[in-house]
Amino acid sequence: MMPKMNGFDVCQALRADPDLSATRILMLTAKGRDTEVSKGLGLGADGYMTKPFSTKELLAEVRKLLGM
Amino acid sequence: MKTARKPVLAATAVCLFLLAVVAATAALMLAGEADGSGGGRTPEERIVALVVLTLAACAVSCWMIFRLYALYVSAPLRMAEELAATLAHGSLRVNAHGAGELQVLGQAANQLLALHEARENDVAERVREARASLEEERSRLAALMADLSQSVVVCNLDGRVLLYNQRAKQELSAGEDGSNAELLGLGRSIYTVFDRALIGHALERLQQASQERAEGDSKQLVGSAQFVTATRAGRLLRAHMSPVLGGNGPHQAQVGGLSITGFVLVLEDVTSTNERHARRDALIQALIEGGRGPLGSIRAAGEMLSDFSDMPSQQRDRFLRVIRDEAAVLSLQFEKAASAFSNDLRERWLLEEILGGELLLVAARRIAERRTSERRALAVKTEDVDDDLWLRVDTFGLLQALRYLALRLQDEYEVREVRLSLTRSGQLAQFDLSWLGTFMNNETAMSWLQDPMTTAGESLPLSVLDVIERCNGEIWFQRERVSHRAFFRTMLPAAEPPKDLPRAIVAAGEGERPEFYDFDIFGWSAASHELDDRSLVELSYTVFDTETTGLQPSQGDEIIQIGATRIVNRRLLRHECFDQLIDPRCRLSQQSIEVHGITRELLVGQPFIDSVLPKFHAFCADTVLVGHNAAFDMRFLQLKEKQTGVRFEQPVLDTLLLSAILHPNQTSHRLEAIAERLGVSVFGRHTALGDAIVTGEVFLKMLPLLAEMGIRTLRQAREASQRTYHARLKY
Repeated sequence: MMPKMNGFDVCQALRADPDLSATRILMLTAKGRDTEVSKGLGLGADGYMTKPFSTKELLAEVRKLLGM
Repeated sequence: MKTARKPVLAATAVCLFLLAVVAATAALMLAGEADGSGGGRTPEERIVALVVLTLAACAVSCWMIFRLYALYVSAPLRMAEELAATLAHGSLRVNAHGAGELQVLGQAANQLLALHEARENDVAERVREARASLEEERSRLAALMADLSQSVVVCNLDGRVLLYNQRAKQELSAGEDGSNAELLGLGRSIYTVFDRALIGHALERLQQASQERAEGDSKQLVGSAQFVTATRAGRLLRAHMSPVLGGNGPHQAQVGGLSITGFVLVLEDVTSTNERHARRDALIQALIEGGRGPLGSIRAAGEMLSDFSDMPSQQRDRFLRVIRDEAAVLSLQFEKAASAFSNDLRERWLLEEILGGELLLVAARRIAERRTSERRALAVKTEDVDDDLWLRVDTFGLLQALRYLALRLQDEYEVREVRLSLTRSGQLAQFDLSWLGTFMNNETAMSWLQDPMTTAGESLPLSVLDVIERCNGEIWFQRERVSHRAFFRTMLPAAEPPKDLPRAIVAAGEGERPEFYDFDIFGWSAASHELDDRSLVELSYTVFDTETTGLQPSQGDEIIQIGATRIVNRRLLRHECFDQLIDPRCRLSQQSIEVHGITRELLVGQPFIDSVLPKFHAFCADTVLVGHNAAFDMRFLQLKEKQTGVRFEQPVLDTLLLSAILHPNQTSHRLEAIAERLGVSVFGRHTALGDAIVTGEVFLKMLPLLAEMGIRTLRQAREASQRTYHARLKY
């Protein structure tokens, strides 16, 4: 786990900044429950992946987000 | 010798005596006369005078004697008769007759009578009070039992059910296929529901324990015995059995000072807990077993790769592939376990199911409550409410959390109105508390969610986050820049609507509370089996009626509905009933549909007679069958004997014949006519259950009338019915 803020807080903080609104956010987390996925997406993450995941999936997801 | 003759005799004796005396005197005088000179009177004149004198004396003395008799003999006798009469009616008093002394006696007697009457009234009053308070206690007990969330059944030592509550009825009445098998009922044997050996063994343990304690310290309450058993519906129940300790009732197991007159069973459905534990164990097991393999392979491959870094590339690739494949398998196992486990997490026992819409309404009300007089109440609007959404939450905590947030908004940001909404989002419920206007930044919002909920006056040690977490949900703060709306959004897992909704009870006609107890049956015993000589008012009856496809049982007509209810201890138990539609597997004629109103659509999907008749047979066990024109229904049942293997051997009484016994000169013995004659209100006619209930009430009204005619036992009723039947056959 991250030291001070958790992933949700970071996501929320990033999204609160209008200059960073074009930045894509992909959350990688061990929190896999439905409610947590929903929260992540609700806070403005563009993608949500639960650990464990394969690197291939990660690459595919990143490509999708960057529109490649 | 008659007392009336006494004065006569006495008077006659006195008169004769006087006559004798006077005659003697006269004779002496005459004799004296013959010696000396006379007085100038002739002897005849003298005799006449003497006779007149005698008669006068006799008359006077007779009158005196009769007078004395009236005062001193017949007056006390009359008083004695009046006193005897007061034994029957306590309010009578003796009149005053006779001599003064007797009148004094009479007054004293009246005083005693007055005292006696007062005492009797006092006793009657006390008995009335005691009875009233007993009734009150009983109804309190009944109310308690009726609404308990646990199942309770009280039985006497023979296993006859004396009391049970609604919960017990629900838990024990489900059949294997989910149909309603009414096994539990007042006066019925508990052994139809539970295994006899099990109960017997538990009773033995109780008696043993009570004996041991009696030998030691007899003042302690005897403990309880426990056992776990399965019901027919496949539910697992844990039962606590406690003894009912009684004084001097019959049928006791005498043990030490106190004796056991019955037992109480408190039942707990442990099926779901059991299942949950079983599932969790299975989950862990599967994870362990499923994980060992892949982990082992990965480890082995990893070790090989690190130990032999100079292996040929083909081998290397093989090992790498092994690692990749096994890791994928492990991931899959994990996902499966995670989703299965998260479903289970929802069943935490502190949470209760509530309809989302209801929660919203209650929350709105709570938020809108005015706190103090200076503050205006917050306006609350609800929108987008999904009506079918069930939630499993800690309602109190959630309401507190919403109220806290709303009030804090009002206090710190002068928010005037908040909105609540509830929508479904996949498997989740989305619950928003939103408002317009000023809002805070993320950190502040976060702190609101994390701090313990303290407002002026009310404080809870929990934070909003704690509460939502407890409900397996997530909450966060979000802003919509475009519309200037901000909200606290909560996501909660949607719950299944609860399955144990109580079955509708057949409504009692006068709106009375259904009674689940009958303490009079406490004294019943299983020993007496000769029903014939039992009094009609003591017996239990099953009153039933059937609806059929037609009137010809032997020509292929079938039963399509059976309705029945029970009479126990002269009471019609409306809530212990049997009501089942039956698929007849044959056509329904239009005529019959018009008679009973049961259409073909209603019969589709209903069970067949093969499965219903055994259940009905169990329902009627140990009772006398009562029906209107019962011969008709019994013929149908008899024709099904071979097919279903069910034989009805109970004695049968027919209200039609009984009515013919009571009112032989009436022309109509149809059920409505009899009901009108006896003052029974008819409603819900032409459903089997409705007819059965009317028949039952009619039967109950007939019992005292039959008793007046001298028909008190079952044997007498049957014989009288048979006689009437033959009499009617002639016509």
